[in-house]
Amino acid sequence: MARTRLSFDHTGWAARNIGSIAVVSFLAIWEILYRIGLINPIFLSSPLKIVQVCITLFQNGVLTEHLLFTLGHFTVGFGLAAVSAVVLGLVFGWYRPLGAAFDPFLTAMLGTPRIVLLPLITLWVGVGFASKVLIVFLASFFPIILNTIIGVHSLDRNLLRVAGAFGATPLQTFRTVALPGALPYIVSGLRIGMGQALVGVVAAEMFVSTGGVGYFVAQSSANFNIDRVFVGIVVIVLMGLMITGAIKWGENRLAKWRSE
Amino acid sequence: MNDLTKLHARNVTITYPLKDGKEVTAVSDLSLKVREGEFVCIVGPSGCGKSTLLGAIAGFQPIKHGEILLNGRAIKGPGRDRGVVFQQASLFPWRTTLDNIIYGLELAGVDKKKRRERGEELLHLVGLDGFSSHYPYQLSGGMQQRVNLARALAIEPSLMLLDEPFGALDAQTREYMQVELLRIWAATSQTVILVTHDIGEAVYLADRVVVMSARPGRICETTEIRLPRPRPLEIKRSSEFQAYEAHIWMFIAHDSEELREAN
Repeated sequence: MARTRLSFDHTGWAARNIGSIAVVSFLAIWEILYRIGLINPIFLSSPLKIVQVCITLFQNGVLTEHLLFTLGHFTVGFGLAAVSAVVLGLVFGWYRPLGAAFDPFLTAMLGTPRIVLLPLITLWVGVGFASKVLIVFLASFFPIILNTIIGVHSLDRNLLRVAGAFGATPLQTFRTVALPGALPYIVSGLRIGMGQALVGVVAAEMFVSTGGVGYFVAQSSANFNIDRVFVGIVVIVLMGLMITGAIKWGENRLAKWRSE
Repeated sequence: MNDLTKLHARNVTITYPLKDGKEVTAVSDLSLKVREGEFVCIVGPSGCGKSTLLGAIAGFQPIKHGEILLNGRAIKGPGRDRGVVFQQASLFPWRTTLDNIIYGLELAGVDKKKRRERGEELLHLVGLDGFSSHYPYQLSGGMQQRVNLARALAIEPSLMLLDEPFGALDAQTREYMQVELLRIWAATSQTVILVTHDIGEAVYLADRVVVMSARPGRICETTEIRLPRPRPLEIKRSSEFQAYEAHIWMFIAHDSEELREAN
């Protein structure tokens, strides 16, 4: 009996779009299982239903409001973390004794899920805007600062010597050597920080909030509104994808001076 | 060429601290005068302190005794009155060729339009027209070293200091760069001090070759190179050139333990 040789054309249309095909197939099977009644609608929604409910919720403004709420927490918390962690990271990286002094604290916090601080934070600043901003800040601050420090430590000594030879002031050396040299590390810190910030904001909203996508999911789940739960999850997934996309775009812009 | 003294090192002693608290003398009671517009090459065996001396002139290396005067003023630290070219091109990888060249001008606060003009001028001088927006990784080793040279020249230094500038290049590129360096030097009428371990390179480039000996580092011979300029590469095959080489080699061989043992 002749053996059938399995062959797969790695350059064909199917190969190039295999990711999209997988997603569409997955959604189609899900929808079919839902339609023929194999899925209990108490526990699981269906793709088309999620889209329908999502559109309605955007039209009546409910979802937009929650989304803006979450984005507000995220942007303020992450923005503050990014700026302060990069600045402090450059300073701690530059003045090694200072960095070494803070290192145990930074490393300990990096390994800890910062959401555990939520009870303390609500005790200190209440359950309002500040609590979520603080959680987002703490979630993203540590990966960014630690990456920035590593970036400064791995600067090319020869470039620092060049700056010295050209009579650069400490501030000029910082701006023209330390910052651009550490940038690839900073960007990867920002990427990790953004991911953790998203986790932080959603978790915090689920526990202590009166708004936001996290709150919306928790609330809908408590009301057994499974379609809304799924809409919330999809919105969070999309936020994650957008954040990843933004970072990729930034990395590509950076990559033009880096040899492949 | 005139007889104005550009650089005057007076009884310079440079020491390094060792880990056990003792000191090692890298340069001992060395004196050297360099005239305005002169091309001086310093040669010597490894460890003779030639790079340390250059580092002191650049202002990186503190001096224990003596002083180094540039245009009559004592050198206290690095500055833009000296253009330094290291063996490693050390270009900023995130800057384009042009932006690398104008680095010093940027630090000096020269306005944007002027430094661009100056940058283009130097790009042309070092023969890199058309490469202004390339990044360092897109350039060959020889091209990177040209950018390095242009970056040092851009600030119009009073003195150029080159530390084994072609040491990392292959033999062919190296010879080509020597020719280029002389062409650029002729066009800029700079005063140059170049450190090398390559005797042929020193004789080919210099008005005067200073030979240093090791432990402790001091000058053991100074030879005026009276070869006519411009110097084509073929001059290296002339008997005059080879006589200079042999003369200098003798001083280095005399000093080098490795060679003494081999003989």
